[in-house]
Amino acid sequence: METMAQNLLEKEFRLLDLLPIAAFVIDCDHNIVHWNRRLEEWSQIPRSSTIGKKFSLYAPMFKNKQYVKRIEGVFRNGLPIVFSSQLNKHIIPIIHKDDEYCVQHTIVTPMPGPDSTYFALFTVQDVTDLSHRIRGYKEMRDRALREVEERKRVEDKLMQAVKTAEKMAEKMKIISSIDGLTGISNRRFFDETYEREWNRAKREKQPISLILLDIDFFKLYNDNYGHLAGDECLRQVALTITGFVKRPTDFFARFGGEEFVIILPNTKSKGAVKLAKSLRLGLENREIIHAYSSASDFVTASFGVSTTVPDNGMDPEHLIKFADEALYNAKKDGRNRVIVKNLPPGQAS
Amino acid sequence: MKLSPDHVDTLTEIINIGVGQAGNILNEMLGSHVTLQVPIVHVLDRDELAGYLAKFNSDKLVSVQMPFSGSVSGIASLVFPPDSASNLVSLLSGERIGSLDMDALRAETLNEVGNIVLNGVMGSISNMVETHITYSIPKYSETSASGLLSRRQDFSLTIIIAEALFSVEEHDISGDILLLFEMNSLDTLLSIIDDME
Repeated sequence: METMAQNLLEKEFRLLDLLPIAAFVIDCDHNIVHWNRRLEEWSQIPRSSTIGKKFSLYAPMFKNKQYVKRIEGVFRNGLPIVFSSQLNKHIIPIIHKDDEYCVQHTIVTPMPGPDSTYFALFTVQDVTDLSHRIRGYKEMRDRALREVEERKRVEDKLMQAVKTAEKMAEKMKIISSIDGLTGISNRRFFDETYEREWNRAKREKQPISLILLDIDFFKLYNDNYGHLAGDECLRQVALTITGFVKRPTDFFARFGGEEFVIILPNTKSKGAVKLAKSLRLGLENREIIHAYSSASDFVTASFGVSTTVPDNGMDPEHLIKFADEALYNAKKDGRNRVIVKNLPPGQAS
Repeated sequence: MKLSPDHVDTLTEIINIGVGQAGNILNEMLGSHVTLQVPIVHVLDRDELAGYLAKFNSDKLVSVQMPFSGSVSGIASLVFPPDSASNLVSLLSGERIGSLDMDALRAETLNEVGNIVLNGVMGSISNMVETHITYSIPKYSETSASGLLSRRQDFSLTIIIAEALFSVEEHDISGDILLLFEMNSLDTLLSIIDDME
């Protein structure tokens, strides 16, 4: 008799074998009445051994009163039930390939049976891969987030280093454009400025003048008064030049050793000579004692002045050379004087 | 058609019985003390519902909907305002709020929670109903307040809203959820209630 009833049920539930999803059916006494082909393959538990057995044998969590209570609604009121993979992990413990239990999402659907009873159809979806993917995705994202944070920290550090370097470079530039001893511009800065002024004078076809000056008998001053006094002497000369060269476009620098240079843009020979002469007098009038000078009782300087209107045939070096030659002549002629040697336009050397 | 205060009282009681059973199940699942209560039940029409939902001020209401048909046809929905949804999911799944798989977990977890609560209430109702009601599998959705109701005009003639408060003592979590029933007619329900008295 029982076999006949089972046969009938088997016929009734035959369609479930066509489902692409694992499924089983229990009656209101919790006995298994169907175990579909997909579930047979998946669980490796043959249908023949399950039919007629209590389903809690295969779904052990239903030995728990709490779960039994939840499926009561199926049989009494025909209410469907969801057992999410998130809250239940699995209904039927089936080992996955990685020695882990398959993660399952289960839906229980009431199927009307005879005499207003219900069968409970459990469809069990394997969501192991999906849940692994989510977990993997999460790990990937956490790692990416950590990397982003790390990168940001490195970038911040780098930005800070760059800022420090920029500040240092700025400072270095100022430092490197100033002569450490006298505090006026140095040779490097002169070279830069002179080239710029030369090109401007050439462009605007304006005269440009150079004054080159050299302290007379500086070696003797150094030797006799000492290096510290020598340094102070250089500072005093620089200070004197600062006091005389007033126009904002004019530029002066320590040219090297005890030599100084003044650039006078837009200045004709006459104006340059006038400035050189007042500067010569101004320096002597400072009355810095120089007992070892045969030119004066005080520290003096010799001046070479040269003026030109630059043209294409000229090299900026030419004007410096001419000023230097004038300076040489001033030394030769007895020092503490101003000699002019202009560079005529169109004459290269 | 309006429900009398007595009708509303009875309805509130029926819903509370169901919600109470659901609370017991959640208790056991969580291993902590969950209180679920429905202090107020409103009966509204479609237009009144829009005004009622405005207070949630959210364009992303999470809901679990279970359609049913029979002598009474309609949809029973459990609606979670966003905060309640996050709190519940993190409590149930032990996941940190705001972590990535929240979205993935949310749907599954809330679907099950919704299923438990709705089954409690519908079980309580259908225990009173002599005739047969067929239920469909619960469906999870995220919509704006205006998308909450089905587009079936016949269902939305009568809407019963039950404000449920849940609190979890140990975790200091509380929030409100809405039970929302769209039905074709109140008549059947009223006659059931009348029969009970």
